[in-house]
Amino acid sequence: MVTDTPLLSVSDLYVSFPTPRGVVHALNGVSLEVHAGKLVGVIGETGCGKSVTARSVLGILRPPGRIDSGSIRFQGEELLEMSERALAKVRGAQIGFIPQDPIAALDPILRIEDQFANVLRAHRPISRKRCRDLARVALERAGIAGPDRVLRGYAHQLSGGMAQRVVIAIATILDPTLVIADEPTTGLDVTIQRQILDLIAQRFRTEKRTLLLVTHDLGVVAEYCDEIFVMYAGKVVESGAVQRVFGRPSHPYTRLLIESVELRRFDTGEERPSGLLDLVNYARGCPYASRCPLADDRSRSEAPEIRELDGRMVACHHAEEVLAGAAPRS
Amino acid sequence: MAAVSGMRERIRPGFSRPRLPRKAGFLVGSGFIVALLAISYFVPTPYPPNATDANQTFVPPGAAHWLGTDNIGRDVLSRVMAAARTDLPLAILGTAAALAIGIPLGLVASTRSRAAGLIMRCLDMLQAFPLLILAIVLVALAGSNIYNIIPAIALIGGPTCIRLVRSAALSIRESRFAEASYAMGSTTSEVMRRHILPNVAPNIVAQASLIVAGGLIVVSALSFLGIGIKPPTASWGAMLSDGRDAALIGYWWVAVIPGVLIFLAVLSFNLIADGIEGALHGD
Amino acid sequence: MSQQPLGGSTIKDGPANAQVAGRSISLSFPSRVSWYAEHRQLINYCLKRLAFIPLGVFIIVTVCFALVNLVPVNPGRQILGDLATTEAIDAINRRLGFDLPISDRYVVYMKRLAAGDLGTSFYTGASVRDDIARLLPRTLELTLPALVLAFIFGLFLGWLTARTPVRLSGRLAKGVYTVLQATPEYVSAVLLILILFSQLHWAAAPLGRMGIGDVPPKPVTGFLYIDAILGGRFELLPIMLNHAILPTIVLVLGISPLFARISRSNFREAMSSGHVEFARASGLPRRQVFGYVLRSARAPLVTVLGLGFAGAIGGAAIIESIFSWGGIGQWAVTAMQTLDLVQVQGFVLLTATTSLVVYLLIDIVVAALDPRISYGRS
Repeated sequence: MVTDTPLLSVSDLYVSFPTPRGVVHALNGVSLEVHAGKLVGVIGETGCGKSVTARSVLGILRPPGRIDSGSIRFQGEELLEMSERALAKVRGAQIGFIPQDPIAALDPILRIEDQFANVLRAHRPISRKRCRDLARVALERAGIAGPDRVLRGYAHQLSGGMAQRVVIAIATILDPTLVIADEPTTGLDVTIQRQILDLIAQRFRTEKRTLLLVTHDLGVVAEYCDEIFVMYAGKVVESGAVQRVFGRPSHPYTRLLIESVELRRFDTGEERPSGLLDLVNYARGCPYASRCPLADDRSRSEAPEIRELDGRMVACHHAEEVLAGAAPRS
Repeated sequence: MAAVSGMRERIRPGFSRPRLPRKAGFLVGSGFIVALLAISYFVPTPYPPNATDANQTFVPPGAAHWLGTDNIGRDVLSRVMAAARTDLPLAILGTAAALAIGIPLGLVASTRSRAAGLIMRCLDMLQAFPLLILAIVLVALAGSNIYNIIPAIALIGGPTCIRLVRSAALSIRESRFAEASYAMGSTTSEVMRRHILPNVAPNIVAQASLIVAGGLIVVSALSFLGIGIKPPTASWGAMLSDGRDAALIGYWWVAVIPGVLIFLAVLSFNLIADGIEGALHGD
Repeated sequence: MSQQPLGGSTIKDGPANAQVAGRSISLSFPSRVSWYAEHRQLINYCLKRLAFIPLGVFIIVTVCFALVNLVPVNPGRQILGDLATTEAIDAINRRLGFDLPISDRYVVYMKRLAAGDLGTSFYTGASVRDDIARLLPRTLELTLPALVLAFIFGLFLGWLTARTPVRLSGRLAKGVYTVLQATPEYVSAVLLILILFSQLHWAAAPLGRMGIGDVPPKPVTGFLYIDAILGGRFELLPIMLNHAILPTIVLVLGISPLFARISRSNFREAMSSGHVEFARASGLPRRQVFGYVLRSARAPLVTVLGLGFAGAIGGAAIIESIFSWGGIGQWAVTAMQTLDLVQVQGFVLLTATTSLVVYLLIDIVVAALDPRISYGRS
């Protein structure tokens, strides 16, 4: 496989949240790579750590989260060693962010044009008038007709879809190389979801921008992404090109995800009922062992290392078995 | 702003660090109050609290008088203990009165009846008045019976209690499980008893502790000003006031001791309330 | 529509590209929409609140009356004590008008109020209104600066606790807050007098606004500071400030916990809110992000500052009394101690009406600051 230097490279990231009820180990050695120009998806269920990973890259973990160890390299520079001031220069200008709730992301008290201006002027010396012009263009490119009215208005006057377009406009206005989107369409109407995702995908491909898309929606990843990272319990369990991973999954959890979305059944056994992910009492061994139909003593005592198999990366002792049984049998 | 802190033991039993100060505060606070009540009620005072002795005025704290004597020779320690028997029960009874009025009114105020609207309007109007002044005025007008302080405290603590109970009851009333309960045929009062009260109870207890603290401040303010509680009844506020002039000449213990006690008692009740809230919300 | 990419060329290259489809950009929003139409919601809101004032004043006035007249009390006996003769007690009750039935008393009271007469002191015969006019400025000279300082200090404490609750600065701030909140003002007053005056001799004696031998300036406005300047008595200023230090500190220590608590909870909420997170993620510097946090919290902060103003008159009464400040608060405390009912009534009336007006102003300001209320849905 040809490997050029990845744009973003997360290595062995450990993140924890000390809470009054115990320490929550959100990320337990997450490694992922994003290459320039690709649309990369990160998928997993609630609590698997995908949002935490995205926020760690930007350094905007919600307190009391803290990064315990690991490395995050962006364009060759180690983000975790940067001062807050240096990091602030990277944010917005080189790494953009599209959050989940667009109306909450906009300041309710500031006019939209002021929010554009603040972001622009934080990075470049631009006059307010020029900011307004740039914002207008950005809004048009985000698919908003009548941008002037939006600019003079406030966040509460926008619908969810329009707000997300505004947010996308702000996130891309400084032309960042990488944009991280954290569930950008969850909470929007289904029809709007499609429009927004189409907008993002189309623009990013045209502008050759890199996207790291965090989502729990398998269908979205299948349709829009080039590569996929599947996460479970704070670890990446499988990753690779989307067609390959979804077409022939080699991890039981990936298989489960696909089964739950498509009406496909794979042949190797039923999953055992699961409880909630317990990220506090983190046992040794494979994190998926408690749910996995293929789990054995080795799974419970020895955590699987991520390795290459059939053109993708997977962390499973029984990956070959899963792969073999993954030939679709209606 | 998360810093890379190097490799550390990742598999660690839950260490509840943020919870520690809250729990400690709660224990210290309740411990102090219990000790205070126990000592003032069950331990006899070394000297009669009102016994004066012209030869022993302004004796500094020492062997004979552990906390010294005041300007007319009364033993400070004994007075302080006796004052606890005055101040604390007043604050507690006042709080009980505030709760007795506040809880039912708060529950009513959370319904959609006209009574609810009326109650809230009255509360809004009441907000315009400086309640501490109002309480002082009431007590001053009503005379020297110290039990008049109780309704005054109820007046100050009542509105907060009503608002708290109302907002808690509202949030539960509009919650899903209350809806389900109604759908299964429970009446309003049943829902109130079985669902609302138990969920609101811890908040009320925390709030009650705060009202006691406030009541204590009011009681001491009144006795400081010489209103309501008249000499020679021992009260921390009155002792503080007596000690004020003595403090100007340098006899510090007459004022400092009761002042510190007021502070410690109020602090204890605050910590108790804090501890309960902390346990409820997990910081 | 312009096909040019929004990418680097637009920004990095400078002025050449600020064009869209060949048009020069200008503000095209029609400014002919009148100010009134745009702020329709806000104006409605203000009018609605203003309409409540007459009713509010009426209720306050009536409650004041009820306060003094309905409490089961015999003012004559109260004032003269239990040993006085029945005739003396009756004489006093007659003077106070207590021999009339309630309804008559009420009418008399309302008539007097309408004429602006707040009654005369029972003991001194001085007009209550005159006393208020004379003494109110002195109270304000104490409470207003203390309020501002308490606001700043409280906000600082709240910010420290919200920002880093686990680090030393945050914990220290929380400790200071806890201690201050548990210390009533009269306790800290006595303790501070003891320490700073009696023991260390740093502060001036708590015996009023100036030294005993100092002659006060000619009363022009009622504000001693201003009167001193107007009268050319500049030497009084440092003396007066010296005497103001202790009571101001006591007031600041007493009021700031409230500001600290409100600001802490609002700062915390704002810090974890979506727009502050997005602002950080967009690369705004920390100082500016803090500006966002502050702006989010400004409505509750304005509200609580307003509440402080509302309580500025009566809230310092005990402190004024301790320090012999000579303001309306001390006057009121004395009135309560001596049961000068007319004065007490006047004081409650004053504070309640001021509160009402201030609350209204707060509501209007907060509504004006919040575009959700002043603009509504477009």
